[in-house]
Amino acid sequence: MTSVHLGVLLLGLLGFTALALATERHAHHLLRRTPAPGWRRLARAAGWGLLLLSLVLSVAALDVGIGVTLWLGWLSIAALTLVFALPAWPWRPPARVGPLRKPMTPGSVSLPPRRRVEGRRVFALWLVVVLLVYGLALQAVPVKPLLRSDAIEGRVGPWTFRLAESERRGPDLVAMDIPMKAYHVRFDETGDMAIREAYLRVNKPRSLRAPGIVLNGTRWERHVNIQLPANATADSALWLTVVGKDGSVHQAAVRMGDVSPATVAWLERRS
Amino acid sequence: MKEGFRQCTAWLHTWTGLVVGWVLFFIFVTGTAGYFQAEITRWMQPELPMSARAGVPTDPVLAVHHALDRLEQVAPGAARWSITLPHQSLVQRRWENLGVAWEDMPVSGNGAGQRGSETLDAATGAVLPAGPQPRDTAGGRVLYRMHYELRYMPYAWAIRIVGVCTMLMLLAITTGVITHKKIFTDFFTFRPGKGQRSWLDAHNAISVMALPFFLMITYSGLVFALFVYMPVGRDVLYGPDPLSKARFANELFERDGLAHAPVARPAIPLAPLMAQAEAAWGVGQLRSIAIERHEGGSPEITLTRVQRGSLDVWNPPALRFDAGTGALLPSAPPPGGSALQAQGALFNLHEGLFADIWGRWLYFVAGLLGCAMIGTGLVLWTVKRRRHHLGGGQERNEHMGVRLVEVLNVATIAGLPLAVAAYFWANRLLPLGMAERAAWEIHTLFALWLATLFYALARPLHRAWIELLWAACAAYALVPAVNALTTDKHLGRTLPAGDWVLAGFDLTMWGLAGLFALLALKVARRLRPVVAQASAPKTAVP
Repeated sequence: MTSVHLGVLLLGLLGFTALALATERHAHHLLRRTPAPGWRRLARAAGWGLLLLSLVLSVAALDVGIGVTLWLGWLSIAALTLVFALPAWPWRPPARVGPLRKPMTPGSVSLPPRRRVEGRRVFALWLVVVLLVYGLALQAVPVKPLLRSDAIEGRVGPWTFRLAESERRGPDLVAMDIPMKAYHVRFDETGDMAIREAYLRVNKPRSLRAPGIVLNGTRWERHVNIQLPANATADSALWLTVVGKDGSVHQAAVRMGDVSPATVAWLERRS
Repeated sequence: MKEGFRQCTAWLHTWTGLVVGWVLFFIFVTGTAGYFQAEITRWMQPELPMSARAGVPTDPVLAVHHALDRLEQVAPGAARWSITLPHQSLVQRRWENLGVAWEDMPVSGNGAGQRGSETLDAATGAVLPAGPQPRDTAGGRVLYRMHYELRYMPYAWAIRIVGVCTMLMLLAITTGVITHKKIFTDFFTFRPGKGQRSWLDAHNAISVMALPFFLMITYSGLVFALFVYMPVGRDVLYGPDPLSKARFANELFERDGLAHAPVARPAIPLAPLMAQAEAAWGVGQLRSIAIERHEGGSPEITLTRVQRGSLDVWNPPALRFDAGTGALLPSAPPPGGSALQAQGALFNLHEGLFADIWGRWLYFVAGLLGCAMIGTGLVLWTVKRRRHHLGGGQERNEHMGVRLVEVLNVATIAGLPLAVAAYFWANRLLPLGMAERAAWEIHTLFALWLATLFYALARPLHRAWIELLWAACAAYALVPAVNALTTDKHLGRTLPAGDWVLAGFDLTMWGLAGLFALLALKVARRLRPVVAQASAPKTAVP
């Protein structure tokens, strides 16, 4: 495949060179003499022929759709290479001697208004402000929930897990004032591979048919946003139900008050 | 208006290009990076092991046997099974190992069942561990998505802004061709070292040579958000509310609404079917096997070819068999018919997903040429109107509008690449444990971009140009160094290991650094003599 691509490029380059030789100006530049019109016509025909040949090669090797697309791409590269290489050709046509535009002499320049320099200072200040705000905001970024010291460690069946709330604050109220709370869970490496899915809910599931909301993600950090029931208190528990890939079901409970103290306080205030 | 047609189009070309030039430059820079988004993401997750390509081709029949064993064990009675055979993925741009994936039967009331997937050892069938968890990164994907979603604004606004800019770009391209009257006689002309004339030559040459790419990328970009820009046809026929839109999509993609039934291991052996597929497509061209069953029908087995050799990447050739009898079923017509196929081909032209590594670099270079076209166009506007040369330190006498354009040019053309380099720096330097790390990588990009704007405003323009270009050069040149200091996936290890994705990223950074060094030298050389002349009387002390 590589040889096809390089072949298309090379044929394109040769084709464009021939086309350049077919023009009076570039032929003179390249050869230091202007070739006869008949010779130039020949170069033009050869140029177009070579370009056509590269198209045939490209289409034959890459099929029509991709062949034409990449042929156009290679032609662009070939033509641009030639355009920017031609001025480096030794026999450059003599530069036209024209009047150079004179730069304004310093004397004719009116003195810079004072305002402009002050403007610059203001912008420099803004530059510092941007960098300062960025730095301060970066400093204030909390660590990931599961790396915080308040993350709960526990065991569910044969596996260990870490659980933490996303935000250490009261629940988010969605429509109709329903309190929602987001949690992150991460299992250990063996558990991660062996777990089919995991669910989270407040209070013990009455049956395994309704284990709660399934955790998002199948690998590493999983997260979920669950609804807090009206009867949730500090003594309520978050129930984690885990279904292994072997079909086994394990459950573990964590006290609500341990994971989400701010939420419990909010619930108690509301009741 | 007494002016001729060409003068009118010249005016239109100038102003359409200028007004949206900076947004277009942003779109082109981030979109160009998008052609290597998989590689960028890979580099931004240094925790993942270096590519260990399974060199020995394993027996595909045995691999499929292992995969079916595993599916039977882990996903009995699922709605769909699929097996991916080891292959070099064109779209994912990496070596794919043997993999199994399944979708459980939906629990009543839910649209889709739980999905799961695993990677298996092709030789033994053992489940491969998932590997270390990569750092939280926005990766190449978010960088790419910025080119049509912008950032910090609702999607509906962003896509419309991008649409207007794209439309104006299409206009600028068309009028540009009309304006450039000597398109054929000037075809190979570039006259360096002549100020405005050189800029114009470079702008023309780049625009004309890569014109097919620019036309294609602009037009196909508009087609992408077809129904955002031109919703009336659909809304009249189907209605504007979300439910009607879903109905439209269902009809377009011919989702038959048939419920799935649980699948099981096919009664017939798969080896003859695989042999049939290999006979049709060639050895090693079989990519995946899917087993599914519609309610009331018999189970079907679909064999799909590796995505290669066609602009229609998302609909590779497939063979469908009856799982009970092994009979070849008639191939399903492509969803949506030829209209959707044409649209798909345009999308693939835009994204370049069909391209192999050569095509990918072609697209990347063409994207850079797009940046160069917009950049030279923007600079040309100011070069034309600049009454005094920048280096003379007389820019303060200039018109406010010219200065505004100049500042925006510096901050975009030199500042944005610097900000993109900062994005890569942030990936290596931000603390690994911080919350919302991926978002902060992007915040870093935009914070630095804003900073370059204020920097350009605070410094004399010619100094801002040179300094920001050198800063971009240094920022790119040091990315491999930062990488070497913070991870173990540096050039000293990736090159001997032959991991060309990781090594290629670092080397590309050096390439870009070289490009910016070249630009900085050119700009500095352009501005220096005039500085010397202008300041000569003051500093002429022997």
